[in-house]
Amino acid sequence: MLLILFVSFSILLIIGTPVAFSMGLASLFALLQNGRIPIELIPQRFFTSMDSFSLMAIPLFVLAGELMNNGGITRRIVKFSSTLVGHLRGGFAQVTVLASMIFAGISGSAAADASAIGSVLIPTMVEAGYDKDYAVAVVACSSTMGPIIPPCKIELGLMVQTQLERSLITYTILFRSIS
Amino acid sequence: MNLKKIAQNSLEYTIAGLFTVFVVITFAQVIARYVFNAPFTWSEELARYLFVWTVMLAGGLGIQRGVHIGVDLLTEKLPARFQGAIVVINHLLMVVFLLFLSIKGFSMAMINLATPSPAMQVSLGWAYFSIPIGALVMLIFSLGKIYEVVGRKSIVGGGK
Repeated sequence: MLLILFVSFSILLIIGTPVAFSMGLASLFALLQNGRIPIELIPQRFFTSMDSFSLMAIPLFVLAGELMNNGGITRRIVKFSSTLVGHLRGGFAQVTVLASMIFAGISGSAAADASAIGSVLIPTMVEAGYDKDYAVAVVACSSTMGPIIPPCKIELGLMVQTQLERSLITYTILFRSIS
Repeated sequence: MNLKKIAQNSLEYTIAGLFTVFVVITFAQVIARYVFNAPFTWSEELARYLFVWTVMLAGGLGIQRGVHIGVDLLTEKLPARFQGAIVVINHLLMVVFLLFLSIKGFSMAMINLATPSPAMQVSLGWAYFSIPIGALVMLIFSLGKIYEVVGRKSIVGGGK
């Protein structure tokens, strides 16, 4: 069962099936092969894992990012970080990292961070003579700070939730990030 | 083509409407909790169910736009004539899973029809039917995608 699960999951990933469907199909194959576990488990788990209060935070964070984007907060954050580090060598790249950091502290979502900071700074960087690939890479790297900068660590919290009882270390990390 | 546009637009408006209600309810819940010190009992559950509905319906839109996250590092390296085949294979696999999900999800929703939800005391079917219906929407859009790719290919072949 485990063999089927991992082999089919790897094959599906390699041929480019979307990750969500790869996971679903791999577990479907494994359950079919096992035969003893009722297969209704899949839609049931499908529902209960989405029916979670903490997951609701993610679309709301993305919405917050969009609101900040349209309301002009993003522009002001960029301006602020530009005054701080804009004069350094590679100024715009530095500005991107700092702006992403500030934004991450407020929004806490990598996707929101990338869309907000990227939409403002990628065109500016390209205009200033940066490589387009380089500009995108800087934004992508720095926006992954979204989920790991306090105070908003919803995604990290979700990930370590199951091990909380077992591991003191993860608990300490989580506790520190919340407090 | 026109039908596809209509389906897509109505789906978009439905999702936007659901999400708006979701945001308003969550906001009202926070206001009621912190300002009036009298939190609603029903709002959290309703918001969760609306969230599941939004996710399941938006999945179809994601298939239509091709934004479901997958590993395209290796498939991108393939020559162009295999690209269409890869897309068709992937969507066929998705169709298999979605067919399974809509059938089994339907039977699961039917079982839960009589069960009341903990806070709102409505039938759990309202929540559980999001799985088969969402899967059906995604199924239709994946079939549309397959049709699109296969149709385009035959046009190219005829041109040669």
